[in-house]
Amino acid sequence: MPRKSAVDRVQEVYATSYRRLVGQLTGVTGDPVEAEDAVMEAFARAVNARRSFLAADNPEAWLRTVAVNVTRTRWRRGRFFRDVSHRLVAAESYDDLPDDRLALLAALRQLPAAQREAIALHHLADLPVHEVAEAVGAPVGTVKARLARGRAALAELLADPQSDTHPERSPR
Amino acid sequence: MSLPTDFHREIAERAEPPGFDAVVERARTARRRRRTTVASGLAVAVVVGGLAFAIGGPGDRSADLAPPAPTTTWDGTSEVDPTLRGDVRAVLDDDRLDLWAVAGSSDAVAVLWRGCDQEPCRFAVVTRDGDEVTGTALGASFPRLSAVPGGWLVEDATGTFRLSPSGERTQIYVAGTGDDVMAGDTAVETSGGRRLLRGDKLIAVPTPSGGPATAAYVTPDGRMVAATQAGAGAVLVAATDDGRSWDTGLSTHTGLPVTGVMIAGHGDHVAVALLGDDPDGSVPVLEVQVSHDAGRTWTWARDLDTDGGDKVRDPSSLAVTADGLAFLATGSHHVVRIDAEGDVLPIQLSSFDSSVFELAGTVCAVSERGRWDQLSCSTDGGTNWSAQPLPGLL
Repeated sequence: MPRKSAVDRVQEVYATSYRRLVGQLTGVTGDPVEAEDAVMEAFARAVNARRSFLAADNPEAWLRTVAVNVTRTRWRRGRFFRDVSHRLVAAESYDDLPDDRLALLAALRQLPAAQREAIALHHLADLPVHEVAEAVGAPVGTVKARLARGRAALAELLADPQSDTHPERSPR
Repeated sequence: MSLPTDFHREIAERAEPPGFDAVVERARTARRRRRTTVASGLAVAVVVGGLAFAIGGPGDRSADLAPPAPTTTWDGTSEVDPTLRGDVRAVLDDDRLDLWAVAGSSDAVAVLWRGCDQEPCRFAVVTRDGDEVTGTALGASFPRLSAVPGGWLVEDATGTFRLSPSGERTQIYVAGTGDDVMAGDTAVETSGGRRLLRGDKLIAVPTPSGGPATAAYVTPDGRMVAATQAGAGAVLVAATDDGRSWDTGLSTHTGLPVTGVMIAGHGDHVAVALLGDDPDGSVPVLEVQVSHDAGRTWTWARDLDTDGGDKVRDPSSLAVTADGLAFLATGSHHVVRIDAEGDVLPIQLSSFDSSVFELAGTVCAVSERGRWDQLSCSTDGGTNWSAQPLPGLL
C-alpha cells in the first residue's frame, strides 16, 4: 500500500474536521465567516508545516490552536474584520440563523477576547476546560476565571436591551 | 443565563467547505509570499515619514539608513540569512516564528527569535554590528535579553552570560546582596527580578523600602532612579546617589491603582511610565513623567490620553534618546513620543509597532511588514524613519 503524503493527511482531516472547527471558532471570532477564514488559514499552515502537523497527537487540536492564534493576531493587528467584511454580505449560508443566535454572536463580540475565547470554546463548542486551556495557551485556573467573568458579562449584555446586541447592528 | 450547547453544530451544518484545492493554493501563496522579491519601488516606500505625516507633511523620504544597518542597500525583501549557523537558521525557518525580544547596545542590535513549529519552542539570538552578523542557538524555554555595556545580558538554560556583538560569551555571576549604586552599574531585568550589573556580577538593587525593585535606571554618573511597590496599588519612584539616602519620591497625578512601572533613560534623561490593570486584561498607561536632570525634577506628560475608550494601553517598551525624547511603544497608539516639555505625539509606522529601543543616537522600533517584521529607525527624533531587515534576515 503506498504511503500517504503529509498533504493527503491534511486533506483527510480537512474532510472530517473543517465544519466542526468552524463551528467551534465561530464563538471565538463572533462571526462565522471570519471563523471559516481562520480555519482555512490553519489548514494552509498545516500544509506548510507538515512535520509539526504530522507530529501532533491530536491534529484537530493542533488546527484549533493555530486558528485561535490566527484570530488573536488579527485582533491584535486590527485586521479582524478588514479582510472579510466585504464578503459578509454574501455569507448567505448564515442568513437563516435565528435571531437569538445572532444576538449571542453580537454579545460575544463585545466581550474581551480572552473571555470570548473561553466562553466560546467551553460553553458553545463543548470542549472540556483542559482542552480550552490547551487551545488558548493558558493555565486551567486562568481559563476558569475567564469563564466566570465572561459568563457574568455575557449575562449582562444579553439581559440589557440597551446593549449593542441587536443582530442588525453588528459592530463591524 | 443558559447558553445553547448546540450552537457550534448549527454553524457547522451551515459551513460549506471550499474544495481542498483552495487550501493548497493558500498554502502555496503563503510560501510564495515568503520568497517573493518585492518590486524595487517598495524599497523607496519603506522609508516611512511617520511623524512627518502626523504633523502634516510628507517629510524627507530620502533619509539615510540608521547606523546599525548593513552597508549594503536593502531592497525591501526578507529571507533568512544563509550565512547563519544551521541550528540558528532552523529556528528562523519556522512558520510559527516570533520576535521574542530585541535590544540595541552601542551601535549593534540583537534579536531573540522564538520558533515554535516543534515542541518545545526553540530560541536563537542573532546580533548584527554593521555587516557582522552572528547567531547563537539558546536552550531555555524563556530566555531573556537585556542591553548592557559591551553587548547584551542573556539568560538561558546554561546560565547568565554577556554576549558581545561578535558572539563572545562572558560568564556573569550572581553575587546576591548589594546596598549601594555606583557609576558604571547597569540596571537589568533577570529571572530573579531587577538587578544591577557591576562588572561580571549581578547584585541586588537597593530601594527606599528595602523591598524588591520593580524598575530602575542608573545614569552614567551612578545616580539611580528606582521604583518599588509601596502597598497595594501604589508604587514609590525615587532617586539616589549612593543607594542609601533617597530624594523625595516622584509625585504622581493618577488616582488609579498603579500595578506596574517602566523606567528607561539615557544620560541624565529619564522617563517613568506608571501602569494599571484593567478588568479586560489590558494594561493601561496611567501616567508618564520625564526628567532631564537625573530624577531631580519631573515633567508630566499631561496630554497623554489615560482615560476613556481611546486611552493608551498595552505598552511593550520604553526608550529614551540622547536628546531626551521618550518613546513608548504601545498596543493601542503605536509609538508615542514624549518630548522634553511633556508634549505627546503618536507615530504610526505600520499596522502594529512594538519594541522601541535606543541605538547609537537613533530610535528604532519593530514594525509589521509581511511574513517578517522589520526594523524602523529614525535619526531625527522620529520625523523620518528608514527600514531595514531584522538581524537574522536579509
